Amino acid sequence: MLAIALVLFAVAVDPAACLPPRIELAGAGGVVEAPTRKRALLIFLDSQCPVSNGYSPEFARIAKTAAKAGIAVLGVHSDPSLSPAKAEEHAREHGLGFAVAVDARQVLARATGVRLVPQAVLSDANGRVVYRGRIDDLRTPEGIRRPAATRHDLRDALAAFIDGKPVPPPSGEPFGCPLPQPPESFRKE
Amino acid sequence: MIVLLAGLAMAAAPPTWSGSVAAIVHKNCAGCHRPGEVGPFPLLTYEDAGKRAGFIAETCRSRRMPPWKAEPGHGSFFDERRLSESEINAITAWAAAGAPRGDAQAEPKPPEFHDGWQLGKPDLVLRMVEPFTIPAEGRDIFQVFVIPSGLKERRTVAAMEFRPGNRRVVHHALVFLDGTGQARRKDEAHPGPGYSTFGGVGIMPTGGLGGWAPGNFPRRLPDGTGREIQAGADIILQVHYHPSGKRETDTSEIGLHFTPKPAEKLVSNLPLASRDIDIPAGEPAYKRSVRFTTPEPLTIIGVTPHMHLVGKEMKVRVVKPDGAEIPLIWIRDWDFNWQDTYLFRQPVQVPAGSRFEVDALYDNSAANPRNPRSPPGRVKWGEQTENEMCLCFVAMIPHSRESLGKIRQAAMRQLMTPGMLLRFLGGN
Repeated sequence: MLAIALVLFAVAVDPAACLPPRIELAGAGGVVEAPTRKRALLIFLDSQCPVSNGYSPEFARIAKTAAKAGIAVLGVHSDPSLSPAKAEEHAREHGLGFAVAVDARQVLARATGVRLVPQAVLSDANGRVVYRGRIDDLRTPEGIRRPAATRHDLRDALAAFIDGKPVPPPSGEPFGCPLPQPPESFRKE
Repeated sequence: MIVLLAGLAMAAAPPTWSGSVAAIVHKNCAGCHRPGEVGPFPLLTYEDAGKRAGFIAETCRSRRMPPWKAEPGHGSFFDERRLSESEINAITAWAAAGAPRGDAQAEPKPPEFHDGWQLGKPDLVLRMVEPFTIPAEGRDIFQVFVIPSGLKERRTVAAMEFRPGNRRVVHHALVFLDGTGQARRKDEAHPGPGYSTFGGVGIMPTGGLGGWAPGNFPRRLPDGTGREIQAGADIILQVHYHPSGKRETDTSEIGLHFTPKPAEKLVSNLPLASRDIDIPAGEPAYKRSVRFTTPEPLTIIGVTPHMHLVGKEMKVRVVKPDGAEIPLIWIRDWDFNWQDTYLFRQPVQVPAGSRFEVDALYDNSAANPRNPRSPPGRVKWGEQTENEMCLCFVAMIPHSRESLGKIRQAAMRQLMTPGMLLRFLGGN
């Protein structure tokens, strides 16, 4: 009885801690619904951020691993001045190989707590965020580039997520570009 | 009373883009942050800069941008990419206030840049023979390209201008000379364009023409002086490439302006170097220094500090015979990615008997994220990634060829400098 209660407790989900069920983003072909009710890998990028762009081949590899395991992959641009067509072109040029969309109002970034790119989020079928953080430690939080990454935080988190094991949190703070912040005068809706 | 209130209101009013921030950004950032340039995003208009206000403020406050490694008060250089405290304060206050635009009508227009040869049409343009492909990712690439000068006679160069072919990936360039054909043979032995190196150019160059980094403007050498190119010499162009996340190609070129008649005074590179480097694994503060007393007077026009990845700090100064010190440069946070040639606004006059002092510091501990070895290992002098150097090139003008010869002899006697570096002095 106690065991059942524990299991129920473990499965019970606090709706407040989950991503909203419906978030609409702009894709090159029209509205894209964010995968907030299926297992998903969200990759937060910025077409103008050199640190983010530098990860393109690594994004492509990780996305491939995720997609093979049936995890939905979406690249999220939080730049209000980027057109969905430009985002699509950027994805093609950088060989990303996964869908991208523009979240001009930064709804997904706010919901997941992402304030700097590149970062990734893993969320489960209830929209619960199980990982949010850096890709790896190629750069220190101060931006110094190591000869090679020594910790592959996102890969490790993804592997655990796929295996249904507890997902380890990132081993350190990310470095990159803060999200473009629309000044007051940009925020007319 | 009204005046006082108005004064308070003004003090409280945050800086605006049109009022003061645009001018600061245009002057200090737009040279690189504009379409087709190395800066990742343009910073020309309010739309460009407003959305990055917080980011701009943070990178300026931490002095990550504009990138400039020389400490103030130690040498005064051309193209100094450095903001004043008041400029940083203005940008910070502007960002904190939500990046107000101010009067859009009164906004300064973005500066106009002219993208051709900055010094006018060169006498000789030398391009990379074929395009070089930079992969999407991986370590930075230091590729050496060998370009025949085709010169039938010895010439002196008054100015060299480097034009990167693809500014997204070209990080910096150094230009050397080879009058021996060694580099050409090395190139032929390697498939594809050029050959790859790290700290050096893989051969013993017979001279140098200078370098380029983003934000540098080409300049003519002082009147009556020049850098010598031997007849038939090859140009050795070392380009540092930075993979960008997608495959790129580059075909860079250099333009040479010759002196109208052979220059009487030659600009030479005095390599203040020590090969006596042996850093124990894990050593966080290894010191190495170089001392050189010049037997002849000379004029310094620039300095190029050089270390590799565990290099941390380098300070260079001249102590005159009367004990007076001239600080030349102090790099407190050495970054191999920023190998600038620093050119003095005012050439530095050095009397005979002055002592050059180079003091370098290395961090070979595991706590240094740039350390190429994990765990750290013993580091010795050499050209490879895992070796170190303690070197500062001093671009100098001896007063005559005889004087150059004496400086060269003194350098050979006093410095533990490898022979290959001494060849930069020329005069042999």
